[in-house]
Amino acid sequence: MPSPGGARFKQGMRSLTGAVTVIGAYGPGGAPMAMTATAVSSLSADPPSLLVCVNRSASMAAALVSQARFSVNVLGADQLDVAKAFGGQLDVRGTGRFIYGNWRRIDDTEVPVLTGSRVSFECEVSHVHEWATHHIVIGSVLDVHFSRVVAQSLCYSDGQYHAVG
Amino acid sequence: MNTSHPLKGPNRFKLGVFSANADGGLAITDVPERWRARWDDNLAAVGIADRAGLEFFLPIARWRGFGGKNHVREWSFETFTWAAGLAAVTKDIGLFMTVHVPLVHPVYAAKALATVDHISNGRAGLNIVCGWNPEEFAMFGAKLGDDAYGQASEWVEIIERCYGTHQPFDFKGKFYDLKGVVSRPASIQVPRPLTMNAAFGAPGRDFAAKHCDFLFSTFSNIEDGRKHVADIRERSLLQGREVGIYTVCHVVARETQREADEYYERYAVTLADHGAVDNHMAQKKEFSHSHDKSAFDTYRKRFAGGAGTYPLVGTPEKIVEDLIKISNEGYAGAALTFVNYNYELPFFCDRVLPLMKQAGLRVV
Repeated sequence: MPSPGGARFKQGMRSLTGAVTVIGAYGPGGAPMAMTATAVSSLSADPPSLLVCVNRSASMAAALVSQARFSVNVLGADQLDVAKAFGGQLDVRGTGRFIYGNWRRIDDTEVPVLTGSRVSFECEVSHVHEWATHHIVIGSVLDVHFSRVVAQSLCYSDGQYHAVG
Repeated sequence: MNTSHPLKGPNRFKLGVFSANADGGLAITDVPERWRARWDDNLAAVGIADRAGLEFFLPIARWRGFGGKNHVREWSFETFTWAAGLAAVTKDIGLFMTVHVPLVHPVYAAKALATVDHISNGRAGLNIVCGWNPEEFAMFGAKLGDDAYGQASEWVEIIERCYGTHQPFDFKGKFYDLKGVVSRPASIQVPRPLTMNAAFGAPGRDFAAKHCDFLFSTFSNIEDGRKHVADIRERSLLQGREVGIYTVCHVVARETQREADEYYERYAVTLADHGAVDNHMAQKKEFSHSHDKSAFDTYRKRFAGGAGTYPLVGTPEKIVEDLIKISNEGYAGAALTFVNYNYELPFFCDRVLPLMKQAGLRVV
C-alpha cells in the first residue's frame, strides 16, 4: 500500500467540512493574539475538555503553553470578516486584526473572548502533545458563554466558507 | 454576554454628538439659547442620543476659553469624569474621553480609562490629542513639545502594556522612564478601548495609522474629503491596520431651507461672539494644523458656526443628500454639533434618521 503524499492528503481533507472557530489568547509578550482555526474538536464532557491543533510555527503555539488561558469562539455565518481577518486573508496584522469583532476580556481569567460568536469556550491548557509539525493542545473548559446560539454556523470546506443551518 | 461596541455596529454611516461638554458646543455665538453645557443639559442630550441609537458622544478637552463676551468654552467638563457620569446613566451609546497626552500621565490614563470601560460595560473610547494651545499649556507650566506624536506613541504603548499583563513591568523610552508598572482592572475591550484622533499633519496621521482605530478629519468642501480618506488608508495599510475616517459637522436642520439659512445667519454672523471668533481663529491659524488654509481664509461664518467644521444646513432631505455625498467620499461617520443640542437633537433624530435609513446609510 503506497503512503499518500502530503498534497494528496490535503486534497482529501478539503472534503472534511469544519466549523470555523477563532482561538484567542494573550501572547508571551503581553499582546493579545487570535487565529482562525478549524482543527478544533470536542474531547470529553467529564471533565469538560476540548482539543486544538496548532502548527508549531504559528505564533499561537508559543501562547498555548501549560496553564495558559485561551478562548475557542465558534463563529456565526455573519462573522465571515472576522474569520478572514484572523485567518490572514485581509490586510490587517498583529493587534490591528482586533478591529474585527467585539473582543472582551473576562474579568477573572482575563481571557479575550469574541462576543457575538455562537458560543465561546473559556479554557486553560492542561496538556500539550507534540506531533510532527503540530501541537495538540488539550484545554480544560473553565466556562461556556452562550452568545448567539441561534445564528447560522460558519463552516469551511473545499477551500471556501459556507453558511450552514 | 452579547455586548458590542456601538462603533462596531451595523450602520454604514455612524453618528455621534460632539462637544456637548463645553460651553457653546462648537459654536461661538451670543444667541440667548446658546449651549450652556450644564450637567443637566448633558444628561438630557445623552439621553436623547442614546435612545435614538446614535453611536457615540465625543467631548472636547479644553482648559481655558477663547474670551469674547461669553468666555466661550471656558466652562467645560473634564472628560474622564464626564464620561464616567454619563456611562452610569446610559445603555448603548459609546462614550469617548478626550485626553491631552502631555498633561495626563499614561498610568493615570490607563486606570481612568479602564474605570470608564467597566462603568459603561465596554463602551469607552479614547480621543488622543497632543494639544495646540500654548496658553492652556502655560496653565500647567508645560510647553508644546517638538515631538508630540513621539511622546503620544510611548503614551499609548504604556497603556496597552498596562492592560496586557498583570505582571509589573518597567518602561524606558525617550519620554517616560517607569518602574514596576501595574494597573488593574484592565479595560473590558481587547486590546484596549477604541481610540481616535484628529490629526491633520503627516506625523499625526502616521501616529493615527499606527495607534488609532478612527481618524476625524474636517474638509472645506465635501469633494475634498476623499483625499483625506486615501491618505489615511495608505498610511494605515503600511501598518497592517484599518483606520475608519469620520468627519465633524455643525447642523441646522429646519422644516424649510429658508428657516435653516436664516437661523445659521443669525447665530453665526449677526449674533456671533465676534471677539471670541477673532481670538479663536487667530490662535488656531498660528498654532494648529487641524484645518486646511482655505478654512481660515474663507469661512469665518463656519468658525462661529462650528469651529471651522462643515455646515449641514437645511431641510432633513438636504442634510441627508449631503450625508450621502460624505459617505460616498469614503467617510464612515460624523460627529455633529448644534447650537442647543436639546432643542435640536429631537428634530434631527425624528426627521433625519428615518431618511438616512431609507437611503441605506443606517439600518437602525
